Amino acid sequence: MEFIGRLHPLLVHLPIGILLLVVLFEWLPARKPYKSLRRSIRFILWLGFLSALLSGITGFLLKQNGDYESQAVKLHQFAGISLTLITGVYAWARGQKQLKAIYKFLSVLMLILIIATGHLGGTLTHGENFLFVSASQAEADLAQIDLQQAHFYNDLVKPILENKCYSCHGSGKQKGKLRLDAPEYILKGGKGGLVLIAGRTDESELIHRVLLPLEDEDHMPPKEKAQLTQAEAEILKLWIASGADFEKSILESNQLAAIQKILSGNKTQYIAEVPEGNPGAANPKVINDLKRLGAVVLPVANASNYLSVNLVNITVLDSAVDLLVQLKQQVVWLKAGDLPLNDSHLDKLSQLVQLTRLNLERTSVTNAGLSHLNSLHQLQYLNLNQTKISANGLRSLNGLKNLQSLFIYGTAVSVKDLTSLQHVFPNTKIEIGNYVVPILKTDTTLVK
Amino acid sequence: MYTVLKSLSCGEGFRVRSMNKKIIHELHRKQLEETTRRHFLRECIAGMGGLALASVFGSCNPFEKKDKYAALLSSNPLAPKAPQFIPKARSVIYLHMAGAPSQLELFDYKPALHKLDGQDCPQSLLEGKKFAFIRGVPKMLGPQASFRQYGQSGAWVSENLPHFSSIVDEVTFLKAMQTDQFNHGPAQLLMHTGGARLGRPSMGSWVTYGLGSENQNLPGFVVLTSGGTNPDAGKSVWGSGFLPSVYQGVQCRSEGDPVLFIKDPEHVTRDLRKASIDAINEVNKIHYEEKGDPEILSRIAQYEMAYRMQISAPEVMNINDEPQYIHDMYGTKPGEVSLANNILLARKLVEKGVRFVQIFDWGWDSHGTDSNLAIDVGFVNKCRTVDKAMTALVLDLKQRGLLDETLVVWGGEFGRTPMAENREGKQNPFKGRDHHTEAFTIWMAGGGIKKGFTYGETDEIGYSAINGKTTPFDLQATILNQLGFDHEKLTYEFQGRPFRLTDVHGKVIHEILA
Repeated sequence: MEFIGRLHPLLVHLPIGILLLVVLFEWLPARKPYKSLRRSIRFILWLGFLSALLSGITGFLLKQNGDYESQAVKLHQFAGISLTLITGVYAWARGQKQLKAIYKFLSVLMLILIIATGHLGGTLTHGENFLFVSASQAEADLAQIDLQQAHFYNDLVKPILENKCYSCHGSGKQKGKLRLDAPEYILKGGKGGLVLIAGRTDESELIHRVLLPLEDEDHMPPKEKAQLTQAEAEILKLWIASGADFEKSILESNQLAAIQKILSGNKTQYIAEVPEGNPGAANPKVINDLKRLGAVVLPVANASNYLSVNLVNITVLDSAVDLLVQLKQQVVWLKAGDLPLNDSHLDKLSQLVQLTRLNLERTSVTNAGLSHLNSLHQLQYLNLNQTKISANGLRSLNGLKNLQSLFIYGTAVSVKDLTSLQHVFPNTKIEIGNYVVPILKTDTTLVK
Repeated sequence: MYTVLKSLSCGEGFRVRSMNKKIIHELHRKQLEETTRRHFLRECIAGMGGLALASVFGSCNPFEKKDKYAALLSSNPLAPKAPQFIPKARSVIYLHMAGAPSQLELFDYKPALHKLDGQDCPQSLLEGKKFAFIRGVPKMLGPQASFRQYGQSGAWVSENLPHFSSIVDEVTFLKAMQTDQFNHGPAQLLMHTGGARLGRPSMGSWVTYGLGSENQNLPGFVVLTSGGTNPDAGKSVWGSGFLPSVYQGVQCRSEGDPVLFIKDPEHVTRDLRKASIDAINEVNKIHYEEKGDPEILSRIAQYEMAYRMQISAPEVMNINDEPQYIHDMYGTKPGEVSLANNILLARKLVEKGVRFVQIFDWGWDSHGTDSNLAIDVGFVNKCRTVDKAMTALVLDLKQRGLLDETLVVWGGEFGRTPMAENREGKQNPFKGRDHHTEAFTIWMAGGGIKKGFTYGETDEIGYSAINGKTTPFDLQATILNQLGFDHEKLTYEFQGRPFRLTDVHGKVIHEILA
């Protein structure tokens, strides 16, 4: 019986197709070449009536399975029964010549009922506003929320459940006797008992199932449906871990930092951050001139105005540096290693205040030029490997408060200087290199 | 082209002009040949036949092609491009130990397997399983190396890798890798092209297609091989599949000229070479405008790159000029073909802006059929050829400030069985293990991957992954992610549908991202 009930979603498409054909045949013969179509209307109508009846019966059986119990199902059922009845009346009337006047009226009535029944049925399977809101739209909204003001459950958790869960666990359908569309239902649980135990993510079925591998039979949402994104799953997890409170705001639950971290996701943790905001597009002519000199000038990512520049095959260094200065608002990464770049070039490059990464390895810079770099407040990565600088020059770089890594391998800086340098750069990882991989006997001997 | 001609001295100008004439003449001849053929087709094939043909070749509609590639013609297909989002890694060095090294003698320490050594393998591990060579009931084989924990992360590493054990706090281990191919060729193809059969582009090709080549004087994707033979899957593991062939890996040699015939022949000057390449490209351009075949564009780009490489490649590809302490660090000896030399070369290439360096080393297939393939003899020697160099690579990249933007990946195409191999049902003469798909280990370092981390777990005898399972598709998705690409969005239109490296699979392994 249950099986026959499950045929409902398949069978319903028959009356929809067949009866739409009836409407078409009823109206088309107004034009001459289609006149003969009229003769088949009655036959098709009875066929449609039969299929509507069958759909109705299977639909009723499906309802008995118990996953569906709500206002929406009742409406759908009412519309379906009305449609079947009207179809029957119409089919009978189509045989009575004296009722000719109301054929067209009946066909329109039938059409309206087809649309109504179909839409109500579709809502049951796919969720409430599946017709107008795409999944990706709903996801994007998560990033638009003002976290300072937002409510944890209403503004973060609920939209996730709404997009990814309601279609099967909502007012229309209650798979596994579970509803997730209101706090009291969530707390009530489903066929298998509670789904939520505040503070215990391991034991809460609600998150456990989401985190199961996709191939697992128990994984939710089912494989073929839209999955929770990484951030959504983490928010859900955090909500349960922090007590699954339905009332508190994000600030009240003390989870602001954690949520910011989740929502920013991969966007912020790059090798060196790209500044927030938009510097405006760079002058394309300058970029082209720079490219013509052999530089690689690229946006750091598609659709970003920040630029990464690599002077790898540069021919005329002086002009390249002058051009770079014109891009000072945009250039964030600059590779200028292995070039005869000197202190006076550094003086000019000190105008590139947006720089976060700067490679100067194997250039001709000296201690005297280093102090120019102090204006680069954003700098996070500085590579001075194999240059003529020494510890004294580095001490003048004390303005670089954001510096995270400093590379001075192959310079005059000695291990002894490191401790004092670390005072100047308390938050910087200083890499002096000179790693040795010891020579072991086994490196060259063979086992036989 | 003509400006170049003008600038040439009289004598050379004459030679160039006569050469040009020859090439133009050749073009005319080709054109005539094709016109006749086209004429023949038009006259002889009935209209319906032509229509049928057009529908068969619907996806290679010449008109559509022309539009699609018109933009490409004006630009260089290898021009550097921006990734989809801000990348964590700029280059990849992928060390592939072809033949598949045994995880049970390197990283996946299983003391329980010791106790089972020499016992019959239980039926439960054999039922419904397929092995490449194991037949009947094999014996279990305990770990053939002693293990210790290293670093703050406490990673287990065997005595076979005494150097590598000092850098475990720099790497992430994926201990529950799984594949579904138990033969070398298909498994290598799956690992590098996302499909076990021939015909798909390799990972490096996809990356070059997406990012171009940062250094226009060098290829974006370089392949270096050692160990005596190419990998079992052949050159397809670095092929470009259905992508334009300009994106295929360029195989370089670590001995002699890096690329064969890279030197100009005697008496051919640089200018003459330039003029002839320009002339050939001019003709190719005319040909392209007629035919719209993207392979012609590849040709043009390759001629131009070859010309530029003539200068830069010998310099970059030469490890002779490296200081002695670097040679001591890597264990390299200039002049020989070795894995260590290739690894040092890889560092040099990445330093010069090469995006993807693919290293293959053959000879890790420890079946136990002879002493070279014995897990306690040949395998140990293989470990010695890679241990020092790969350790040096990670440390050298680190001191050069390259490790955070270079992703290093090390692994084989599958794992090896906890059972000893019994080829044809008989015990092999040496200790060895068969191919195994259900669990193997790879490690990654740099490029925005966690340091001193292990992801995934196998059961107590290392037979099967039980936790944190990952697949070649996941690895590919993760590598592309680090380079700034959504693996589902880096696609290429072919045969009427978009293709991607990971086919319909793959999930970025977020757990291992720093």
